[in-house]
Amino acid sequence: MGSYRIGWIMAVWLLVLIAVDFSIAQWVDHKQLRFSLLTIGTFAEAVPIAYYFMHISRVWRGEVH
Amino acid sequence: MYALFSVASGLGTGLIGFYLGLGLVAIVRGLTGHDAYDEQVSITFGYVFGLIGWLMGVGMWGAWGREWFGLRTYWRKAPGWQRYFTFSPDHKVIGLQYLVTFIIVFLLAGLGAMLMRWELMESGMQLFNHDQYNAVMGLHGILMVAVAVAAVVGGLGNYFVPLMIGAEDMAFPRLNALTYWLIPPVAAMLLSTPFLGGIEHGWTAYPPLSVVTDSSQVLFGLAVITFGLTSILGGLNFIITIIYMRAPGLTWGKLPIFVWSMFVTSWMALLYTQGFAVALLMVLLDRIAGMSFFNAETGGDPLLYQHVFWFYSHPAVYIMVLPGFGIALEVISHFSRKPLFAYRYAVGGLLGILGLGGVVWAHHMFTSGMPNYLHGPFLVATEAISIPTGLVFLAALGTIWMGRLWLRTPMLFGLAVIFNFACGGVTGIFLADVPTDIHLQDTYFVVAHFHYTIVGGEIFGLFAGIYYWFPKMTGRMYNEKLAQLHFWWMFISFNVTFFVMHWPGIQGMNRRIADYPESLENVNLFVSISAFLLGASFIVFVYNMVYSWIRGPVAEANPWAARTIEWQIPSPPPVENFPEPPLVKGHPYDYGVPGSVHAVFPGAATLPAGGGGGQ
Amino acid sequence: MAAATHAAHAPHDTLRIKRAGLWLFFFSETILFGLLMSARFFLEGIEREHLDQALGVGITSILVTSSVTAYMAETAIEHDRRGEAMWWLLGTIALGFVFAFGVGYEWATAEFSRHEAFGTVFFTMTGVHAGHVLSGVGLLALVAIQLGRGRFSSKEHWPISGTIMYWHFVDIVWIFFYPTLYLV
Repeated sequence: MGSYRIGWIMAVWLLVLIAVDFSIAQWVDHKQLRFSLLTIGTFAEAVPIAYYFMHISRVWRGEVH
Repeated sequence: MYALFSVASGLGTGLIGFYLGLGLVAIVRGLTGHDAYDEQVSITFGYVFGLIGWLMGVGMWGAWGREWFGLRTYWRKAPGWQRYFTFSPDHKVIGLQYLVTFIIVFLLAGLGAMLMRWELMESGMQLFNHDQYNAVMGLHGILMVAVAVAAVVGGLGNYFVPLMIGAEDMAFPRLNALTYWLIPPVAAMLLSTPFLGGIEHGWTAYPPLSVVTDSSQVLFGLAVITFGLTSILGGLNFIITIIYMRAPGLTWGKLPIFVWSMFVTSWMALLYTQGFAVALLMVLLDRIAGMSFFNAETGGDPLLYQHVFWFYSHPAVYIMVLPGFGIALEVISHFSRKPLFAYRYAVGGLLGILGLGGVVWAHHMFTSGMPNYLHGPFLVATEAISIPTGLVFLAALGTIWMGRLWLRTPMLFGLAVIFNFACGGVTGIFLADVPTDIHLQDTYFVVAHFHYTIVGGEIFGLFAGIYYWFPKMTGRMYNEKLAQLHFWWMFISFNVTFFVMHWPGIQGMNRRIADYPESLENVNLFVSISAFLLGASFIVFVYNMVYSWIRGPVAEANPWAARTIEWQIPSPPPVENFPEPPLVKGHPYDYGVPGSVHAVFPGAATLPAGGGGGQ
Repeated sequence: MAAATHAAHAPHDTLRIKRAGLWLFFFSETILFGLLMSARFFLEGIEREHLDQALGVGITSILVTSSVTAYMAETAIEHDRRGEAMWWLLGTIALGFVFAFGVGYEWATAEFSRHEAFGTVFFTMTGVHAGHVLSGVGLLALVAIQLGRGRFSSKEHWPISGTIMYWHFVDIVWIFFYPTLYLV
């Protein structure tokens, strides 16, 4: 089942990124750099959720299963 | 009596909800060791529960709520006029509900303006004390803002967008009914603010005054947040309807310009209305939860309010005026018997206003103490927005040019929109430029300017639309002589009132203040008298509308020989709008173009739409 | 909806319309949350306040995990596995409650008060978000009840999909709020 596998891969990806974000916050002291890195990390989580979990492409491609 | 039953059960469940909210607050506060009743907290929660109760009781439970629990839904079916008092999914019913409600609100708010002008006839205090004057001024402001935001969009937009795009209804009919039935509580809350002390802070509700003033501010905040919800959900509904429900063949390039203006307006409402809601939510939290968004002592900043507030309230002026432009262009094309000039540029202009509208808000804040480096960019962006606006004017003037103008009432109002908004636009330049704005900020010059743009641009457009579509909505014809009397009376007294009002503004007469120096008495007396004349002109309008709706002569289906789809069906349109969806072939404004057809109705025995376009 | 009263018309693609409408609603909500975030940066700049970092990363992981379980529930119903979908839904609801409880614990133990600027933005942002989480839990419970009664199949499961999309959206909001409040 391809759809289930996407779920597991996403779970790993998201949890790893949360850990990465957390580490950035602990160890990067330069404020602007920290802000930029966190912004990138946040979008790296949000965009795959919108694409794989929320199926944003179905808005313009229609329903495909 | 279905009508009575519907409204009464809404009021009943609304009251139950209100007391439920009060009770919940009392229990929680009692358990945590406070007094059981706190005016602001209790009102807030009572209102939220009461609002839900009202909606459910008025018919949303049967039509929608039951579905959430897997039960079968039903509609209350009411005959004749009584359906206007039920939770009806029909966009034509909802459009008239909006229109009549907001005409009433408009007249009430206009009465407020008359009272203010009465007070301002002489220097010193006569009719009111200062608090009462502020209360009337704030109420006039917020009610008129509500009318300007929702009367055209909710009323004429709801009625005519589905008809003009050949759809059988809006995309979300139940959501549509929900947006209307949120309005009566909003109106009731706003009108009851004087009983809790009145809203002293005007419609803008700047802190710190709005945080420390009477409890009526809570009513104001809750009502406006609810109204914002209406605006957002309505905008969402329009966008989806226009994208997905167009008749076959109706491409974006053939969309009537009124539909285009509604599309752009809806995006504005969807994108920006949260600003007002969030700003008032912050004020509400500062008031009832003791937070410190705007308290500078504990790290807050009142400027935050102005940024968030104007992030909505500047785009709001485009929400108000773009539907007016849409109606004006629509009417001007039909009554000039010419194709709309530079259609693509006009659409581009509307889209350009959508794009630029969100980056000009701080021009309201040149004297607020925000950082100086922001002045330049906002000055330039504000002036740049006159370019897309100019494209809309280009389309209007190019259509009139060499046209065979048919000067019936809708056309007169449409032309007045163009004239008035040009005046408002010219005075806007002085307010967009930092040096002149610092002198003119918060004077009657500003009042004159925004009445020229909003009343002159949008309310005149609203009347153009009402007269233009009156035969379609009611199936009867209004009295043309009275309508023209209304037009000239309103147009002249409006221009005299607000043109003269620039003068005391330049002399430094402050807006929102109940008193002024004696040297300005003569000009204020003059403005007041012409304002009363302006107010009196609506008596003609109301008489004409009410009498014609009941007794007027039966109108033909297409009295203007217009080509757009809504005129090709009977008046008033049947419940299902079209027996078969129309098939769109050509452009809606091709008057005099040989052989052009806008829409045909397959399967129906009607002639091709717009067959009379050659005249 | 309208289809019942207007049978004469060819049916529109109602599922597509509903999906687009829901996305526009998310879009509009994004602006609401974005304004609250802007208020935080406006008042506090990119300064960090002292917060319970372990709790923060814990509840974030829980909410993100609940998004995964919600996705699994939707996938299961798309393959007509009702029983499995039910378990995933119940798991999501449970994780949602744990998250809300975590936020409540944070509120109770916070070192700042709501009367100062950071407390103001912190309680407002987490409060508005927690309200969305709780409404999401309520909606999930409603669809779970209907699923238990035998509604929904691979052909007709829009209420589940819509609710789960809403849940993902609330999760994305937290993914932005978490660094804004805890990490920046």
